[in-house]
Amino acid sequence: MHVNWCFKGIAESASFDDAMAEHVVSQSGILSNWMLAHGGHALQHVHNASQAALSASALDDHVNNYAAVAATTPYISLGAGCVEYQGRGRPALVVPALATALGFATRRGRTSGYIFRAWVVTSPKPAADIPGLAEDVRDLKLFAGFHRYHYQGEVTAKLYVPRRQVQWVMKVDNLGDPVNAGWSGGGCVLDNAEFVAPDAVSNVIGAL
Amino acid sequence: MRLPGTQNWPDADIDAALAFADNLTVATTSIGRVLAERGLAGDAQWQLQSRPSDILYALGEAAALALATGRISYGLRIAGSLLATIKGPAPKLTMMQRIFGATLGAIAGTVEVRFVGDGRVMALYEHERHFLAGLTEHPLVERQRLVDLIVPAAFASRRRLSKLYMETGDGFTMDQRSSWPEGSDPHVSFNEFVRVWEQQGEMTQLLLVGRLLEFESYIRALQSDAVGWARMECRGPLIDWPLLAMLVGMHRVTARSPEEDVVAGPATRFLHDLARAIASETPHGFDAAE
Repeated sequence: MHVNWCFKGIAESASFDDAMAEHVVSQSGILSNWMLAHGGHALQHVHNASQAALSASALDDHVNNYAAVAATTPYISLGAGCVEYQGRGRPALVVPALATALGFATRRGRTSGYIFRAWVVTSPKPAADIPGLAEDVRDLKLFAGFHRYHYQGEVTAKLYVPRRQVQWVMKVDNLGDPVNAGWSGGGCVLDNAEFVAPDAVSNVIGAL
Repeated sequence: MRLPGTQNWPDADIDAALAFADNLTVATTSIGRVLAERGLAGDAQWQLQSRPSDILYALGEAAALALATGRISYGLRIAGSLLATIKGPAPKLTMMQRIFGATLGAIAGTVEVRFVGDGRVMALYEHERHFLAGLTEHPLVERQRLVDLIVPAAFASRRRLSKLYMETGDGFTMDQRSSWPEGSDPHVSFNEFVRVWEQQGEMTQLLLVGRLLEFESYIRALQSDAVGWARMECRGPLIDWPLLAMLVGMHRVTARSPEEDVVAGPATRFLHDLARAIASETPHGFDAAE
């Protein structure tokens, strides 16, 4: 397994404001739209259905046909950056994750938004139907069919990203500059006091 | 003058995207500073991801968006300032980033690229010489690739490139020079185009036809993603910078009528017109004669 640091950019809107961003960090974690759509259901009633929603075809829809499944997709797009092949004889193009996340958060300069930093565990093989693991869909060795949006450098989480894996959230204005928010404590960045660093699950074992 | 297919993009969205991209270096630097002050900058991976130098390519895309949507002066301002990063603090630019910035600067007329002795390639920017690449440091195959990446920038700078072939101590033997591929391969045609011009005095646009066709089909491929194209979300830049540099260089050397242009479709028609406009708007002071 790999641990991937990722960014998630979310634009500010009537349904996602400072309070909601704080709620993500301090309570809910980053929820998929499938989770939000089933928010009124008891956990024991939806955990079976949520796992049934995960499949290779559902992941394909999420990446290649997002508009059709946006309201109910069980997957969450995160960004980890990528290197784009530019063709024979041309240098490869580095697409940094932060720049991509800022683009999503600001809708490319049209609104203010939020940048989350989180880590997820990815599998070295495709495992679209296994909850708890994210999919490294930017890896074209694993997901050649996802080349169309490769430049977005996507790592796809499933159902939700636990809040203990969300390190911080930052508010940015429409140009991507940090800007103060109205969450607890104020400031432009909200640090998650309950964040657990990925070292906790690394394979580096200390001596007894 | 706009790249065909961009006419329906709202001006407000284009202006917002350009302002956003123009500010990206400042924004990412500010974010890094805020996180460092809070002790959240964390591991080395984050440091790598936040390097401002990676933003060079995003700025290049913004310059392409501006030029493709008729904002020529704005696009040239972005393109002409990319190499300013070369003067900044560490981390320094990679060789490919330096060549990329120099190519856009040469198009905008703010950078002059020169082949000098011992296979070194330098960029003159704001009255200072900056190292771009050392060809002799690379194996032959890599040199050939590098030369074809650098030639457009040097050609747009109106430098006679015969030094590349003639000057002693440039890192190339005659055998190596004669082994460079000839002809229609789109990835070596720049080099060949310049060589034919300098040796025969003719600009044979047909030598660029491979690359012109490639650009035409590339733009068609971008537009085939109808949803993404309508949202101004493109997988790559809207301009083939080396090709544009060659066309700009061509129009800087001699005025040519549009009827003489080799055109593969509406996108290459636009690129020719854009090159002609840039050449007339950026009459830089570099002397073509050595």
